[in-house]
Amino acid sequence: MDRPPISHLEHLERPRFECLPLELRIYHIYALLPVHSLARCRAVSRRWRAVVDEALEKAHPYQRVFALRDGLNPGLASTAVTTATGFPLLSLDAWETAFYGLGVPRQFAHWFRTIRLGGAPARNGSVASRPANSRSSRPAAWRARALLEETEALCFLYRVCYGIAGRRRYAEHQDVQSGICVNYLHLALDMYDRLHEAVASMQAELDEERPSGGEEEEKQAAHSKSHDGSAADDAGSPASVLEWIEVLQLQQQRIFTQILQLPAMSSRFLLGHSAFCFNFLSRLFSAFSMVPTAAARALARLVHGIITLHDGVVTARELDTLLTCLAGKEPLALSLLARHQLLLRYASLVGPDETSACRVDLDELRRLLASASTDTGAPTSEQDKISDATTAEAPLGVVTVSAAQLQDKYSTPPVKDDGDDNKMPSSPTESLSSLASFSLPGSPQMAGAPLSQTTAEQRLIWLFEHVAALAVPSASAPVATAQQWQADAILPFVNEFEMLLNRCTAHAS
Amino acid sequence: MVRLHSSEGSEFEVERSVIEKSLLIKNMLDDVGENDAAIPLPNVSGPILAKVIEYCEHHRNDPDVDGQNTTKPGTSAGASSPSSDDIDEWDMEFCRVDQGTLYEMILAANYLDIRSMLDLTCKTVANMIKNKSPEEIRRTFNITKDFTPEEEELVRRENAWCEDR
Repeated sequence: MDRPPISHLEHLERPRFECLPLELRIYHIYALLPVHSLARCRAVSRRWRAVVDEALEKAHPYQRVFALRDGLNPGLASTAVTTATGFPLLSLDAWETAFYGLGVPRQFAHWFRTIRLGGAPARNGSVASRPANSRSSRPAAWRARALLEETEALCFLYRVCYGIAGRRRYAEHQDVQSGICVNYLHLALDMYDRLHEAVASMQAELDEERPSGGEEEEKQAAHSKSHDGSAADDAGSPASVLEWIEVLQLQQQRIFTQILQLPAMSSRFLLGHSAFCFNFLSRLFSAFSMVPTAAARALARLVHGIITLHDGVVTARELDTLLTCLAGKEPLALSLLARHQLLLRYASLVGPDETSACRVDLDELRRLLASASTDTGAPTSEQDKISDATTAEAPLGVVTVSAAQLQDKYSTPPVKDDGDDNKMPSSPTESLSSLASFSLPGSPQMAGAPLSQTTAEQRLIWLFEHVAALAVPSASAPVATAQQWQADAILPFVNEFEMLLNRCTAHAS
Repeated sequence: MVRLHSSEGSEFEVERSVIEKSLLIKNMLDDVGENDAAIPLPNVSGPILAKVIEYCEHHRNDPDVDGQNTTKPGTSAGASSPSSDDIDEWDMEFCRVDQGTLYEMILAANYLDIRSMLDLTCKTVANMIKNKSPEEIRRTFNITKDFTPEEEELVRRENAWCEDR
């Protein structure tokens, strides 16, 4: 058999553009390109398009603007690069300026309502007018459609807020992070309540009309329908109402997850409001029993946000508050891991007692993981690797990517490699077997290793999620359907959070 | 003098003041002090390490990048946006290498934490993309177009505004 020429082999072994870490491509290469060149990159291939869209969202001075652009005030619109054919771009600075000018939640909510109503096109034709046919004229189903539209707009707003919360420097003032966090949370909590009410009222309506014994049939009919709009055609039927309930419950989950994520991204806000921070962390840990993966993700983002702040931002007092907040929280493995990361990064701010506490934390973490290993049947040597990974977790690189794994219908598919190397393991055992290749930027395993295309933040999220999967057995099991969503369990949590936020807002004003 | 060991075992001797452009090595030397032991660099091959040393020697007297022009891409906009145009002649000649070598230099600069070299090499790659059509980019980077006709049409429509200019 003929061998390929040596030069060809060399070519295969040498790194290609796609082999460069994602954060280098996004922050150091794509971010240097003018938007016109960047737009052309989107036309190269699917992968390039996905990465460029990520760059546009997370790193580039311009940000995609979707449906809300027409509602921007004239001053803002003049700074936007808008076109008639779509793909409009807007400076993140412009968003920041807009948000900075909107001080209190009421102003922010009014602004959001104005731009949403002024700019959002009637997608799927669902909100523009009330359905005319008699079956579709049920108030609950109609309201559900309107809420769905509003939720989509709110999710877009979340993406913008998230992008700004993750900025390392602000054009206006870093206080903008506090404003965004508080204002967005007010909107999101209000939306959560309204979704909850809508679900309750639709269920009540359904109960009134449902003939006895028909529930199972309706459920089956609802599940047999696809989500391709058939519900919209027959929005008044009981099966369709059930389907709407399911859709709205999924939106509740989505909003709840965002409520956990945004404060976690706003590390400067949390550092500035210790009471809120303390309570937020308590609620975050209590959320582990309800949404373990989302909570692990939020905790990882919070820790990542704090350990990547420049030196001097975090004071010894603030660090002490954080460490106190984290002390002894269940699940213990997660709070220990978070404490350990903070202590590693801010070793210079803590005294010898805390340093030894860090060692104790690590030993305890190892012990917990070893016991979890026995429970899950995973080999202990693999557990040691996760402990080693936590030990080796030197302060992560300053250059990071805000890696929200958010997708909505506007987004392009997530970045994927040709192979399955980047696929996140789905079970604790699988995660442990992949752990051997867990690496940090610049570590020997970096090039070509699994997860090498991911960012430092994503790696930290991955680590937290997998420790959570060991510590909270249900973490590896996804919340499968809307029916399993424990809305009643979440609502008191949300209400408490709302009170907490009100106190924080009152204090700030 | 500091001794460095490349991935395949080649040894390089370099002045401390030169190699301290690398924050990784600088911090390492600050922590453990200068001694006779060679510093192993398992992620950097000999030829690439030679290029790194060449870069550090040429730029040994440059002021530190930190604090000047370190605005992270994406953190500011408008006039202060980063640009890939400002590369001096020596640097341009230094980066005139094949693509594989250039990417290895990027990875090495990232690993060794030499910010200015990382910026330079990334700017060079950005210039390879800038102002090129999608087809030219595919040829440059040896990429296969994998769009379906529908996707291609969608991207074409989305990009129409920038092609018209």
